[in-house]
Amino acid sequence: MTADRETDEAVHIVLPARTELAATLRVIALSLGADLGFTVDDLDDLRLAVNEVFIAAASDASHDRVAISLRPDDSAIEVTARFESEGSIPLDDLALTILRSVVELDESDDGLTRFSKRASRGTP
Amino acid sequence: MTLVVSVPAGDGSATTVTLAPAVPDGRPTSLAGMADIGTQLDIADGDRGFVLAGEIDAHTAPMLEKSLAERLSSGSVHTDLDLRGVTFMDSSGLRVVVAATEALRAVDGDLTLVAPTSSVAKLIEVSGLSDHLSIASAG
Repeated sequence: MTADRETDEAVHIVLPARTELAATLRVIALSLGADLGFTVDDLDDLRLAVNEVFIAAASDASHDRVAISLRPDDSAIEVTARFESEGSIPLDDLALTILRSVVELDESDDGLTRFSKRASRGTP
Repeated sequence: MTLVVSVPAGDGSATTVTLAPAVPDGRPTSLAGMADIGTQLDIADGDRGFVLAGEIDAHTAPMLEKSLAERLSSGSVHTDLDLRGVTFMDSSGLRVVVAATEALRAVDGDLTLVAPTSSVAKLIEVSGLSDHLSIASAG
């Protein structure tokens, strides 16, 4: 986290890598998306994507905690996730298929899992 | 368990909140309330299977897996899952559904997903499993 990030509307959350906490993360994502006027479909997509990344992290027994940032701007939310220690989050084929379908997944190999969800034009 | 959240404050700065147990081995008051937003899945017996309500995720999918396994072991090879009350399902739930479908078809049965909600239907579609699973509208 950099200083300028601390003055924006970003939400940073560090969670124990436990599947029961995925629900907490989904609620936060839904809240941020609703604030941006996301449609119901957009919200479903964002919730699913955030969830898939988190449960992929939680299924890796070698890491205890997951750091996730959700950064909203005018019409989109960028999400980054990583283990609090080191190491990228392993995503299996099904998770990748889902993410590629519902969000814009950045597949650059920089140790971060990163995607964005842009609000579609429609009735929220 | 310690949970750290950094949220924007009204003055443009950020506030970091750390939630930690108030006493060793005790459940902190601030986290106790979070249990209310944890995943819930109700599994009720239906005419030919189960009527589900709530969310099917990595935390609750094992409950569904157990119920389906018990039904299969009892000899019921045709099973319906009424999904009209399921507000969220992830890949964990989908894996349970696919595994149960394959197990039931192996004994000449089937698993039918009844009236999936739009979010569940979309998950099935984007996963490329629409043609693999049996899906029925509400009867």
